[in-house]
Amino acid sequence: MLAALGFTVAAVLFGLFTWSLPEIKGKKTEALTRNYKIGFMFLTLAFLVFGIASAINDESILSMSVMIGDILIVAASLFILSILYSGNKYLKYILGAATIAGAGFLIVRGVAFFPEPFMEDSILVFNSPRFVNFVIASTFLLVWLPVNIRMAKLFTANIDNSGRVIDLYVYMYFAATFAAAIFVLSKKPITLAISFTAVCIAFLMLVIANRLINILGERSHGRK
Amino acid sequence: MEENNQQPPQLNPDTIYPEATKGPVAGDTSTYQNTAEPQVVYVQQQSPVDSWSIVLFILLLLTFFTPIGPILFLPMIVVGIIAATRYISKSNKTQNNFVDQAGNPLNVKIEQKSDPLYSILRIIGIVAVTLVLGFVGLIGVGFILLASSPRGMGS
Repeated sequence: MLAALGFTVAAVLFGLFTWSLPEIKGKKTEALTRNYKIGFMFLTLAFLVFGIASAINDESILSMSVMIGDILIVAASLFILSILYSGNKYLKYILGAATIAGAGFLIVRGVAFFPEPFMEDSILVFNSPRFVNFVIASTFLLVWLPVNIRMAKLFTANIDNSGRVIDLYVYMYFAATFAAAIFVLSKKPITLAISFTAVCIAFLMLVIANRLINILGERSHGRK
Repeated sequence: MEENNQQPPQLNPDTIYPEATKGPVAGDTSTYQNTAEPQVVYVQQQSPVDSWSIVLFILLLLTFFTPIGPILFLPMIVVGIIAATRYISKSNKTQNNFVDQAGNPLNVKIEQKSDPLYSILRIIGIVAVTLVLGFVGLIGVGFILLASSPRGMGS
């Protein structure tokens, strides 16, 4: 039940994070925020699926949940990638190529490396092969990380950076993404537990920080 | 802040993203406060893939597919921190270099605000970053200690 509880808590935190994201005015920035939110909604769904599967604790359902989770992570990453290359004149082609690559990865995952997760000490161990871990970790560090940092800067575009408070906010996104990447590639229960705790702390703090950024943004707007 | 008679130009999100700086209109020597609708937007387009991303990718490759992988985990975190710091400092540098529409630099002093919310946000930021990176670093140390394990990283 520990895994089910943990994944549900994480899913709730991701959902709250998505809900708490600061609003940015402007047609294009709204589109970026929307894509960013969709990306995190997929991530929330993935964690909910893991949570439900952990509660049922059936081998085939666990395998299927990890496969579904991978599909949701790929879909989320495509939305995040669209932010990374926003404004690029080749965006459609880049997204097309990434979609093909993502689909190819999922086919390879389903055929050659079908998930074989298991429960150990009430913790869901993904037990993914190195190739799969490498692809997911690379996606997190090379796509999610720069986008998270840039979105953090965008969310705070209207806030004064007194005492480098915005820098800390950006570092929080960095730390959260890094912890998420470590969580995804962890195999041992202890590594999973530590990285999972780090992810939960990071997103809990981000939810609070987002609310503060929202308030500061409103005050900044009100002053004008 | 001094009001301008002219209509502030519309903020073009295409130009503010991925990186933008804000400043007062040309000739305005008053103290500038960062407000919701900036009057001048200066854009510095930045490639989504920089040299640090490539270093990070190479480290990831080595971490996953070489026997020395577990030892490289901590350097990977350090490279990640450097990359993030570099991005943030670059953004700050740009933010302080206000220019007008013609690209001429403006002498602008940013007014510091003393809102308690900033202090709370700062404390939350410090606690979150310290805890999360502390946990991630702990895992890195664990990887080094378990480097002799035959199942490799994270196993």
